[in-house]
Amino acid sequence: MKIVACYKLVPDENQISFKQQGMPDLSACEWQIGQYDLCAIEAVARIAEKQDDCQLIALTAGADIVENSKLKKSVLSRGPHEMVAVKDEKLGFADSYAVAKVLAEAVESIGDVSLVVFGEGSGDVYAQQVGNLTGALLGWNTLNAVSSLELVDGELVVERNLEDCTETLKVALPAAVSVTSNICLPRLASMKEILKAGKKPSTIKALDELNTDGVSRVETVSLAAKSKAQRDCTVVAADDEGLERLAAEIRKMI
Amino acid sequence: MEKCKSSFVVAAGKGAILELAAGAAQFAEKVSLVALAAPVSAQGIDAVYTLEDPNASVALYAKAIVKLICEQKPELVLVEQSRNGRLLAGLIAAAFGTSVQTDVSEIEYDGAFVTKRAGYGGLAVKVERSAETAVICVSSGSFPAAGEVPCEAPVVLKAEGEGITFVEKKEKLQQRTNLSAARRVVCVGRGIGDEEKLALAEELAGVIEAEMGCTRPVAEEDHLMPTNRYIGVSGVSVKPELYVAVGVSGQVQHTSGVSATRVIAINKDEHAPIFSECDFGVVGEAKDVLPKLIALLKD
Repeated sequence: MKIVACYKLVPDENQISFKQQGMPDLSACEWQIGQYDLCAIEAVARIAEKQDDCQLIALTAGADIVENSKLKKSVLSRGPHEMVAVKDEKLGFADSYAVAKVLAEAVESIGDVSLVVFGEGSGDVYAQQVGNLTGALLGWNTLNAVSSLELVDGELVVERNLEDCTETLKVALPAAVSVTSNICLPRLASMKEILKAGKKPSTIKALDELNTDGVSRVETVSLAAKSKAQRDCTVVAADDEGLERLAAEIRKMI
Repeated sequence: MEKCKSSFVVAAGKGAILELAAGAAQFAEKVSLVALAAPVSAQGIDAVYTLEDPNASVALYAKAIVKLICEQKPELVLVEQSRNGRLLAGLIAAAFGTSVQTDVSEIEYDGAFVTKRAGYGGLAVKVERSAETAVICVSSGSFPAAGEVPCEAPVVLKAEGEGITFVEKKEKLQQRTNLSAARRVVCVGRGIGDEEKLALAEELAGVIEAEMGCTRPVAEEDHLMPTNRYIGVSGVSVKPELYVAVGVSGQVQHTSGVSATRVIAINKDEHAPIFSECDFGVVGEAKDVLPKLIALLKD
């Protein structure tokens, strides 16, 4: 059986700066695999390890960064047997529909896939929609908020963690599910796995190899830095005087 | 104000239904409602649809809901921002060939729906403009609530979810929190370390009558606090008068969930980013600072 784990490469938010107007400056940022996607990769790596003859494929879509060899190794050292990336400049800032359409087409082109998993949301936009949209575009059973995922007798048994309850469902394959960040802890890859990752197959596809345009449906009118609250930023040592001042600061507010 | 012809509201909670009904009525001449839980209706709603068995999973009704909304071709679909709401919003948007505008706090209509949301972990504000049909997940509190009216003769939707079988549902026992409305919050980060120091932070919260919150790793990795208490972009947003951060480094994913009048930080690392986001900070170990602080405050 084939399982696909989707992931997004995102800039480290702590390193983003904003130009005077408009778009964020990501040039100085380190890139990483979305933190929620790591949980999804781990969840299916554990399933794949228990199955005989299970091919786990990592899939991403994005701009040039998808070719970064360190990040390719990073994803392949976490369990997937191979990775596929769809590369196009447009995909760097595309909306969730455009990305979902690309991922759905890529899943179709991989062929014979039974399960696609996603993190609950991307590390940068966190709209929590790409999984739902991709599943719907594939016409598959689609669920989000999945906090436990098992493959039993050829079907999925999932637990969904909702605001006021948890529910258990059986889901026929093929299916697309988005998993919560507490489904499991992502592994730290061993040096051996990182070395092995360099030898695993990876494919970069151009957008025009797929039956979609990568064009966003929802237009981004503007993206600008949020104005920050002005803070006093008085910082003192934890000596007697500092603690007296701390207590006084808190008393002022109660 | 110019209005579009028709809209749908999709929500479970009564509060969300009343708010979204008022929102939809501002923008559309006709408002239909899919009530996912108890049958509720509001002023301004023209038609109500309910689920045959609201105690089963909403996922079983997803296909029926998408079909209903597609047939009526509304220009606007407002969806409650819950996990089921996000799922349905995605499925509805896919059927209309568009994206979902999520986490929206402000909407304007000028022939298309222009919405505002946070981006990059709360660092940025993103303004988006809808395609032909707008599917929008709305943050609670974005509209004043409409008045409730009796829900008369709703149309009942049947499950069409072959392929998904409902097994069981368990109500959550975890204590409900009202962190987002708390006037004072004591928040612990990973620097708190263990249960002993957590108890000190809880004692401080008791003394100053604050709600306890935490950062994501404290809840999800260390399991020191329940997950409904983590503050940040993927957790709860808080807007207290006083926010005391103990052992919180100040990563943007966390601080973007905090909009406090006064921020006080206690952290052993003088270079922690929280010190450039606070009004008053003390560099010190929680285990040393908290007992002395509690003693001073009790005096």
